[in-house]
Amino acid sequence: MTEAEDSIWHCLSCGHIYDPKLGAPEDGIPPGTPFEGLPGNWTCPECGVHKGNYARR
Amino acid sequence: MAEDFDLTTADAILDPTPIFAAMLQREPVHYSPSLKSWVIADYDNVKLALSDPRFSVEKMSPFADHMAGGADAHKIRELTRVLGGWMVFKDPPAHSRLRQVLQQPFKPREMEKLRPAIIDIAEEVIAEMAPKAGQVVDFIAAFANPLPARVIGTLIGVDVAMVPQLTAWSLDIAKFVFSARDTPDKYDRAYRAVMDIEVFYRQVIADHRARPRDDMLSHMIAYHDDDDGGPLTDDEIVSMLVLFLFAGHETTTNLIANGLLALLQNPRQMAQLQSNDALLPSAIEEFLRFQGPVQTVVRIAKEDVPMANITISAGDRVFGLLNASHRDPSMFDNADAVDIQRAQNPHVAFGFGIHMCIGAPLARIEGQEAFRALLRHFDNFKLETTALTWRDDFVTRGLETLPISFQQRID
Repeated sequence: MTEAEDSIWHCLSCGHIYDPKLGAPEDGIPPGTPFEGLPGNWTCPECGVHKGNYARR
Repeated sequence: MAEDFDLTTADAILDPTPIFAAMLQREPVHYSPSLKSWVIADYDNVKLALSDPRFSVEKMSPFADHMAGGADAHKIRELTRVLGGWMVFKDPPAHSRLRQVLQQPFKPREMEKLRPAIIDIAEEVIAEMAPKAGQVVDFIAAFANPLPARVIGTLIGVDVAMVPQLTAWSLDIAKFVFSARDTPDKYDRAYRAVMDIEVFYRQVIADHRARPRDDMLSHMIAYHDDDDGGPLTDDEIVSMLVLFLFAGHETTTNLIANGLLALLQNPRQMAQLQSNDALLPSAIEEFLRFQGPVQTVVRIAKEDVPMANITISAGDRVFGLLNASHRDPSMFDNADAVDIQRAQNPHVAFGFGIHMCIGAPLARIEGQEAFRALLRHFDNFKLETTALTWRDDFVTRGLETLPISFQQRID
């Protein structure tokens, strides 16, 4: 992954961290998936806010 | 000592934002002699008060102690017995045990399974509202109130016929919890509501023990964690059921009604949302920010906490003004404008930290489906009053009524 693709993102609503190295296996998202590669309708697995409410750390 | 910004005047209840702006500009953290509390208005410090472990949420016992010996002491003791069991009024470790029970069932991926049922409820309420097209209706009574009430009823496995009674009990409890200033008999009404709802729920629990089913209540009854104090007691389950009804009803009603009001006052954004329901998720976040359902949170400092240029002393009470923080210009561009496409929206309408609203995923789904159904079936919405009446309680931000008219969509 490039440095940008490696970026960790955090949920602005609850603070949940998305680490691309880990992915989101509970949602079928494999490790190594950059945040930008998540589906458009992906939501925070903790508070349910939409993907657009994440920011790069 | 700072000037006393008065949020209790008729003008402030109608529109508190000028007072918020004055606080944010002049004294975002200040002591209010009239409230006998610190008041926090700026985003960073509101977020600190919400999540810092130096602040406690255990305020029911101090209230009961304060009222001991008074005319309403017995009623308040009983109220604090039931409501004091709420996890929103408990610090760790007691809070952690109760929250653990519900963490998984309330997660977004679990709540998503309720979306089809929520869509059905929305369609049902829409069908009841449709014959009133062309007339002036109270949107709160017709839609914003019944939808979340029926959703909560479904969640806890209660017959839909009981929902109006549950709603009435919830409103009476709200008068006490939210310190309604316009209800002199609030202790009587809340006491009777809690006693009646306790009897009802004990019957529902007994029925679920005899006939377990696939719902939240059966999950709570079956919950057992040897590391964490074992199964929930019936007292704990009753407390939680009262909390669900209470926390999941009026707040979501406010989200839906306040959101529709924001659209009525911003017709171009109403039109944008009507033509593109992909904007629903960001629109719901903006409704939560612009006129959040919960205006104030209360905390008690457990130790001295330096904040801004003051020190909050151990034992001092603190009011965090969520809706003031949502107008903080250091955090939100054009904070006083509604923007349903606001790119990033770090509002704290659901709180933050360990007490963040566990129902947030459910509220978000309800908000999205409420507006999807409304805007699919109806258009030509009009606000049919020039005098909005906001409820006079310190904690929530909600309307008494929202008179509107609408037409059925013909596509």
